[in-house]
Formats: sequence, structure tokens, C-alpha cells
Amino acid sequence: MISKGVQKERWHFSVLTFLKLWRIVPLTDYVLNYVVSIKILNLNIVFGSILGFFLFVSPVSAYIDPGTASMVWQLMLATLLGIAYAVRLRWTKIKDAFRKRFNKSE
Amino acid sequence: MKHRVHDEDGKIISSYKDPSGYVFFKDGKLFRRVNECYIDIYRQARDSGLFQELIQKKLLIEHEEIEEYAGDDPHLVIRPRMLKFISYPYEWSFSQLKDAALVILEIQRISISYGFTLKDAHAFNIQFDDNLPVMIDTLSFDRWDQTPWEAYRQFCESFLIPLALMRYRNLYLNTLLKQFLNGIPLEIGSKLLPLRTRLSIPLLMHIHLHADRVVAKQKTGVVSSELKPVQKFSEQSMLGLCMSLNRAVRTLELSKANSIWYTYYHKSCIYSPNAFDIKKQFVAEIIEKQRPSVIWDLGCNIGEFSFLAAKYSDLVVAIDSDPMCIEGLYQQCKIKKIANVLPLQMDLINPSPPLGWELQERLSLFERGGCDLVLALALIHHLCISANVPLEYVARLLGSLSKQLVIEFVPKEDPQVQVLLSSRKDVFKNYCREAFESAFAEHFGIIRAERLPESDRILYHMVRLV
Repeated sequence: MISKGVQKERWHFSVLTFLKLWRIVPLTDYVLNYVVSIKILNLNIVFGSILGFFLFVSPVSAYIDPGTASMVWQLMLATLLGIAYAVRLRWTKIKDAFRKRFNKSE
Repeated sequence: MKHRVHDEDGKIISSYKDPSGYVFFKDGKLFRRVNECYIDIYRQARDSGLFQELIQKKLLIEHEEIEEYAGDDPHLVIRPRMLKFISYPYEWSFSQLKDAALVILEIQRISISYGFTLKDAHAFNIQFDDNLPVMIDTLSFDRWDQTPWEAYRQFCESFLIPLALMRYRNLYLNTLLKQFLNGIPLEIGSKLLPLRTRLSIPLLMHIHLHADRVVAKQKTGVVSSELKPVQKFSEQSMLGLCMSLNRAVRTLELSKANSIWYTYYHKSCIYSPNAFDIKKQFVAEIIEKQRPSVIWDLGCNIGEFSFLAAKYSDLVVAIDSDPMCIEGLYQQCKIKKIANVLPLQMDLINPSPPLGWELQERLSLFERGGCDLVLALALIHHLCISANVPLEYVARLLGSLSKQLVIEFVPKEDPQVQVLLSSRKDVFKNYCREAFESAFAEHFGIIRAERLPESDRILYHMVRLV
């Protein structure tokens, strides 16, 4: 049941995770958990809000290697960086082609 | 505790971090040991042609292989070329740090094409050789297995944040690297930078959002083993990362802030043209005759005399407390292609101290090899009047530094000293020519003294007594 729900509501996750990562909306953690509670676990609004609140306020503090977060961050950027590189490469090639032609005609 | 830079077996203390090997001194020569665990990677990097390309492009220091030991403790010994002077990132100007950052990125880009990656990217791995930044740690490479860049955070903290702080806040902020030897932490850097840096996409991505991620992960406290990346980081992404960081570094440019020292010679006409020529001639004659190998130009200003001294010596270490002067001097060296002047920003009142583990990881200024001649032109009044240092102390310090000394005495009647005294009480009753000469007579013998025309300033050439 849950897996079906997750598939159905995937777009919620993508949007909210994006908002959370980029810190655009404050309390996105809460909203995210609220959506999890109501939409996926099929709870009603009152229970959903309560569960959402509890999920929100329970960060676990444990040791984390500071380098790991940077590695994960790079993985998140990977596609963006790859595309940027490919675009740049193409653009340079186009510019070079134009430059060559321009120089020849001169 | 007795100060030492290396262990009893010659191992240099600053190379304790890397299990791949270490640097050691033997019979006054510098060597690097490659431990068993790293021999394979070293050979692969060498045979792939990576070292050759980097050395050819002057990005990596040259080395020769000395010995290969088999048996119980197999290891290799290589001998890197020794540099004339070691400097540290907290002494570099903005452009020096920027050039060093670009060299790291270029090395990473080339390494990736050979299937290798830089495993650490801290600024201490870069040194200035003939005024070009060069990587000195031959053992910093690792095989790349399509993972994100391990040294990404270190690069951001050691280069990108200091550069952004210098650009957007103050040029003096490179001195924060004295406190944070491994780089200014992301969360601190992100908080210190002005809000408008969030509008720059590269800075937003590599500093602010990166810092937010690190802080968020620390708060949620996910254990590192759970976060082993399973997703591959493609070559294109890695090259994209290098490109993006390169862009972030390149777009940081200094605003045309004016420094009072930078325009010193041009605006305030303290010397008549005749006096300035005589001063130049005096210095040139001595250096040409003595031919010192290493000269320290203390209070070098825009380096007028450093360039003069560079003609007759192997290396001039030009030191000044004003970051803009050092920036200008470095730019001039690049334009004029002068390789043997190394500009460093440092205040003599508080020179670079020994730092790091047991205070032996990074050396103080005075532990990094002496010099053959010290130029201290128009410096004494700043030390004695601005900073209240007694003349005897100045003489003692300069006496400990070198055998030869060229010094300019600036008397109280000088207009520049009057400016210094205008806003404070004159408590310097002993600041006069006689007191100066007697203080220096304890350490030096005066060989030659010459008064500059149309001025009260006197130039001295002194030689240490013992």
C-alpha cells in the first residue's frame, strides 16, 4: 500500500525535497512530513499534523564525517555540472567553427 | 621545549598526515619516502605519463628516483628539487592565492584524463617557484574510480572561501588561514560573506548551499557509513565541477581599491629625483659588489628596490604589511617576467609564527632559512615610532637575520616622521642618529654612510661583527 502511495505522490516528494534542499520555503521539513503522514499513510488531518510535528522535531545527533556531506552534495550537482560542461564544450566548438570561417573569409 | 622541524630520523613533522609517505632530510638533502601502500599507485601514475605531463607544464615539482628497497619494509625514495624559500598561503596576496587555486584545478583536470584524482587540495601543497605556483606533494594522487572529488570541500575551504572573503570583505582576511590551517570552515565562511555573494551562482553553489548541506547533515547526524555514494560520478560531471570551480575562482576580481602605500612613491614626493637616484645607486653598488644569494627586502613597498636587488641576486623575498602593495608587486613581477622576486604579505611587528602540531608543522618566518643581505629602507621609523619598538630591539633582530645590512635612518625632522608624530605625544627622546648608531654598533660595524641630498635621511651599509 505504501509503495503504491509513494509512486502516486512522487511529484510531491520531488518538489518538496527541492524546496527543502534549496531552503526556499521555511518549515519545508514540516510540510514534507505532513504530506507523508496524510497522503501516503492515509491518516486524517489531525493525526497527520501530530505525526508530522513529531517527525519534524526529532533530529538524531551522531558522528558524521564532514567530508561525506560534500560528497553527497557533489552527487546532487552531478547532472547539472555534466550538462554545464557539455554545453560549454559545444559552445566553444561552435565559436571556434565561426572564428575559423570568419578568419578564412578575411 | 627545543624547537625542531624534523624528528630524530630526519622526518619532517609537517608530513605526519599522509600514510602514503613522508619527507625527510638526510645530509642536508631533501628526500621523499614512498611507503609500501602507495608504491603501486606511484608507479601507475609515473608510467601513465601523468607526472611527465604535469612536470612539463610546470605544475608539479620535478623529482628523481633514488632507491628502491625490497625486503621487510619495501619502499621507494625519491628526491624532489629543493625550493629556495617556503612560503605559506596566509602570506600570499589575492592573486597569488588565486593562481595557486587555478593550478590545483588544472592538475585535477589533467589527472582525471589519466584516471587519477587529487586526494588532497590544501593550499600548503602549493609553493611559489620562480613566481609560478607549483604542486610540491608528488604523493597527492590517487586512482579515480568515478567517485565525487574527495578534496572538493578542502578546495572550497582553502581557496574559494579565503578568496571570496578577500574580494568581498577585506584583503587582510587571508590571515584567517593562520587560525584555520585546513581552510576556513564552510559554515564560518558562508556566514562571514555578504548576502550579495548568494547572487553569484558559483559562490552560491560551492559555498553557501554547500555549507547548508554540511550543516544540515551534521544536524540530522547521519552516520557516514550509511552515506556511501552508490551513484557514479561521471567524467563529464567531474570536468564540469572543475570548470565550475575554475569559473568561481576566475570571476573573483579585486576592485580598484587604492592603498596609501601603493601610491607612496607616486603621490607623496618624499624624495627629490636626485635623492632617489642616489639612494638607488647606493643600494645597487653594494649589492653588485657583495652579490648576495638571498636578499630580504623588509618593508618593500611597491618593490622598487626589490627589482633593483633582483638583478644581482638569486632570490629577493619582498615583505610588506600592506596586502595591496604585495598584490601590485606580484602583478608587476608577472608583467615584467621577473621570476626571482617573491612578494609576501607580513607585518614585521607580528611576523608569521610557528603553527600546527607541536608548533612545528608550519615554520615561523625566521626558521625558513636565513638570508645574505637585508634591505631595510625607510622602515625604521615605522618600527620605532609607529610601533614603539626600541632601537636596540631592531638592531638585535636585523643582526640575527643576516651578515650584511643596508638600512636607511629616517630622523625625527623628516616630514614623514612628523606626520607619524602629529597625532601622538612624542615620547621618543632617544630616537636620533647617535642613538641609532650606538644601538646598531653592538651588532654591526658601519662600512659606509651617506646622507641623501635635500633630505635628512641617511643610508648605511653595515656588516655584522661576528
